Amino acid sequence: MEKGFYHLDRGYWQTTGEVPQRILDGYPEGTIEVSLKPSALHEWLDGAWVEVLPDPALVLAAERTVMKCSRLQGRLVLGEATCTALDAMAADPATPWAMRQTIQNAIEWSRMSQSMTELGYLLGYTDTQMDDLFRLAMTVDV
Amino acid sequence: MAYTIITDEQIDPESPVTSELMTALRDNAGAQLGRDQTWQDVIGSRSKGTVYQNTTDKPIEVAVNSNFGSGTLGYFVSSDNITFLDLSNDQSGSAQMAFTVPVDYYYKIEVGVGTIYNWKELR
Repeated sequence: MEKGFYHLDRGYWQTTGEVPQRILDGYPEGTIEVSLKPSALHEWLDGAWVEVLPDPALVLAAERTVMKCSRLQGRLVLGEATCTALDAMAADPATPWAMRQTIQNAIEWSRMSQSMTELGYLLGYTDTQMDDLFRLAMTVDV
Repeated sequence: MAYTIITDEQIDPESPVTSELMTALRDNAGAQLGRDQTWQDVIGSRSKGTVYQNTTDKPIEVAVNSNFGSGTLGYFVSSDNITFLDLSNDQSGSAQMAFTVPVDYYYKIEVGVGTIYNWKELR
């Protein structure tokens, strides 16, 4: 059975099974056995496990780093009307060359890429709308 | 320490030294990574950022698939639960890694606010 231990300087640690006496004998003075940590969000504070919720902004930032979809997934979610507007942008010489290349040739769309940020701006999408676009696109089975 | 190389012909099967050596070799073979061990899915009983100590009598292998968020990131091992060595080599996007945790050693996986998708131990 796995065991939990806590020491003021070393924090909490958990064993992968029963703890032989020779290991127990090697623990620093002040080590106490505690109940297993209930979740990654719990911290041992004043003799009890307390749930500490993460900063929502950090959670969103982490989610955005892994938001990726294929061009086809993205276009299917954007829909015909928006894609027609996008294609018109790509064909317009007034659109910056790099953006035209991105619209026409990017195989994969990454939420945090500068091109996607600019594309969202051109489409008039808010950050939340861009998040929703990627969340949905990543679920499209193609 | 000085070593002497001996040939097969020089080994005396009746010698107590030979018997002792064979016993030691058998005991050591039992402590090899992978011997009498199976891969176990431990994701339900593990948490990112938590320190785990290998208290089994054999080394264990840990295999993890994750994405890194911001904050402290990496796959760490330690012999004393004080100084940790970072084994990771990629701290951007997603990462897969397998590493060995020797007997009595500690390990932890830090992904910031990222997510660990798979967590298995060969034990």
